[in-house]
Amino acid sequence: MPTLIYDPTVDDKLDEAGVALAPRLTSLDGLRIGLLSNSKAKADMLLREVANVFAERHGCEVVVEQSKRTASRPATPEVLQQIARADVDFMVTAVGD
Amino acid sequence: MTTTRDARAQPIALPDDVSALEQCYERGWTDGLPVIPPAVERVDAMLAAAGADPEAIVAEHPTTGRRCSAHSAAANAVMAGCRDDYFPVVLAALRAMSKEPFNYHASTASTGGAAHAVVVSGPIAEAIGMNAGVNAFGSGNRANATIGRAIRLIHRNVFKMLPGTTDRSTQGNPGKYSLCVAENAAASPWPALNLEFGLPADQSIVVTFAAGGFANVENHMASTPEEVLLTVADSMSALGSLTGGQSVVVLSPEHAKIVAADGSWDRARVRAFLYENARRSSADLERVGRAGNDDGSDFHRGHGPDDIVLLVAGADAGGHSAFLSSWSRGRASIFQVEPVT
Repeated sequence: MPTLIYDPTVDDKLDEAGVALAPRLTSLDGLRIGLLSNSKAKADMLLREVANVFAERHGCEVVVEQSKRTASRPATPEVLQQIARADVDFMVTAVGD
Repeated sequence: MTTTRDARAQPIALPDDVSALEQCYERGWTDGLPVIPPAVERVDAMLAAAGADPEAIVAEHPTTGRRCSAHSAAANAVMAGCRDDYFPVVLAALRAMSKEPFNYHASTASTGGAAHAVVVSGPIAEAIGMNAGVNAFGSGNRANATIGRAIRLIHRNVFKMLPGTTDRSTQGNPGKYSLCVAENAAASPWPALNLEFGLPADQSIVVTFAAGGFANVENHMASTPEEVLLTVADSMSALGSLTGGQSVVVLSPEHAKIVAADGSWDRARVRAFLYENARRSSADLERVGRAGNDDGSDFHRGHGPDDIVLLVAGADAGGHSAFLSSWSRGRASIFQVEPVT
């Protein structure tokens, strides 16, 4: 007698229709960067080094730097809004330690 | 892999149970151990027994936004080997972990490798045949083993927290197979946990906790409350697990009896004593490269006595208690209490 099984991986994820990926960048030259650290040790150093590479190679400028309040929780809406208000072209995030 | 809600309406047909089990392996649905295939009649029966609406959302996983319906919870509980009457405990644990500030996402993703502990208190523990006595942390009891396992399978299958991709545990944790324990209220000198948390005696509860580890606290020679509790506090203040996080302390009946012998050590006094003594000097922390307190004061485990969940479990004989440390170096996970309904 055949066995009929349910798929146990069904999730009821919220409708994602309102979330869209940003358009891909065609050039990095002269763009504005936002930096978001996860707040662990040395994440800020890693971010600045990466930002320096973008500055040297593409003339990018860091216009906002933020840290999550705690590494173990998602960035708060306030932190994300401050980055959004700075009108960055792209954002770099880093995990320290 | 189809994971949309439509998949629920389209069960997969296999020739028999054995091939269904192999299919579960092939699709990556197990924790490595064999599962009971989530056959339509088994899952439907579990939902019916609980009177659960299959579409009801019982847990939400932050950041990923994935949500677990009663139906998906039942499918995984069946796979874990749960009996129908265990399902309300699984649902209560899921509700508890969905509440802030439990920190559900990070505790399932972190290098820390948390085991999601479920502590059961109240009459349901005995009603469903949980083991609170000898070998309380297992293995060997179906309810204890499969309730904890159902939680882990849901993290894997519904929330897609998969080792190597979304679950980045450095070493994992044996408790990630299952970590579920029942309070031994009969051997406890203190009111049961459900009463401690302000609920009536007939209202069962679960307490969920993202545990970093399990330490056996052994002292067979202690004969005073201080000797027992200083041994526990010493485990709580080990440099490898000392954080500002919370703690679950599970005293064995023998240790609890020593502590409560003269009647002056109620739960509050025990917790206050543990908090006071579970500490290290800032110099100790600095010796291993960690930061001490800015003012040089001693660093305590937790923020106060209320950060310790204290219960009794285990066999009558044996000077073996347990300390479950919190996951994460910080104060990332806060235990949650939820009624079993």
